[in-house]
Amino acid sequence: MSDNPFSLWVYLSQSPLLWLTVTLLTYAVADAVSLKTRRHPLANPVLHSVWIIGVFLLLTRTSYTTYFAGAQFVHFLLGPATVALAVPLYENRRRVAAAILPMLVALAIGSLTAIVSVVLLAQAFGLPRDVILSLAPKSVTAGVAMGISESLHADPSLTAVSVILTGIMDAIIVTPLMNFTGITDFRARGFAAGIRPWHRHRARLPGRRGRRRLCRDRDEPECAGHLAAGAAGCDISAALIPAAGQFCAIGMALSSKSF
Amino acid sequence: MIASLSLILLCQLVGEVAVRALAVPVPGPVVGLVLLLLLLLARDRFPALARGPLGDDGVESASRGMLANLSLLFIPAGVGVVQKLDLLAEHGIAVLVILGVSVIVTLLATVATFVAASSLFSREEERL
Repeated sequence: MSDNPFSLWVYLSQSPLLWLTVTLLTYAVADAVSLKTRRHPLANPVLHSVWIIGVFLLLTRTSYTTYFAGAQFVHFLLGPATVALAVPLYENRRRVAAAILPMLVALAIGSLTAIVSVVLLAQAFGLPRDVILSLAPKSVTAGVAMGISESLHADPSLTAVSVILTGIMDAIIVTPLMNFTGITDFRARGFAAGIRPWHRHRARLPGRRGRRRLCRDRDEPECAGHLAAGAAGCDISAALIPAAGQFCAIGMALSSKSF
Repeated sequence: MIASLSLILLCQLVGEVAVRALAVPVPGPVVGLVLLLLLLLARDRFPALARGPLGDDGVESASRGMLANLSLLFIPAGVGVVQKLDLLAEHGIAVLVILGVSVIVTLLATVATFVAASSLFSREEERL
């Protein structure tokens, strides 16, 4: 060990090990807190991990380039995870086939509304062009949205954050909004939430003695669909009603396909 | 496990190559998604395909494992906002308002379209 503790820091702060560990550890803690609050939308593990790591980087005066040298191993998995979305889509193929036409129409209108509304609003607020371009793909799966953002020469990190924020707002708004409009078709509700994907849901299954329990074990057949849907981004209502959860996953897989 | 991951990576690789060769503006992993879906559907028709990663829940369980932790994968990109703090200080509020309004408008448009379209299509089916 070196005489100077500072030289140890200089060594560690330049190695991928430290930043990979920081990323996983922060997420593990944030995720545990989120589970404790029963997946409350405001306890979103990604949101909190991002600001905690961001503050840590600023305090230690670490550049994002240095951080990313470690975190890139996690970032890389976004591509394979997008491919993996084929599985929830495949597992729900019957439901997809049964509602394919309304889904495709809703998908086209929904995606168009998302893009047009955000671009028009951003122009009305007088935001710079590169910010508008970064916000435009916010309603697609984050991995895909960042790909689009890159090909528009916009800023993928801003896109990632706007996707996350959209997911959180979605989770907070969707249930009261749908109750307000009186729409009870849970396929429709789940699908609409799936178009703005992301965030972990609260998957609940009927537990013993009729109590609801959190869905944690992905090996349980009932949970598998829920967890896939949860990764896709479902609201509480979607998690409570299995059909809506399934449609969430499909909405996500399809919305990434629409680009 | 390794074979399943290889299959997923292979789908992505073929997707990336196809997208670049044909110069289409679609992300490579999305083409990979379609490829994997087609493989799974083909397996239903040709049971001979149900071996290796395509047999015994191989690629399915690997995919589920990856998707269960999907949110972790957004963190490295999200942390990238530390490079944009001046931009956030200047436009942060506007961005929040814009996202909020857009979320409401989009949710309503999507759900209304879905409900309208499904009642339209089911009425047509009844008539046939």
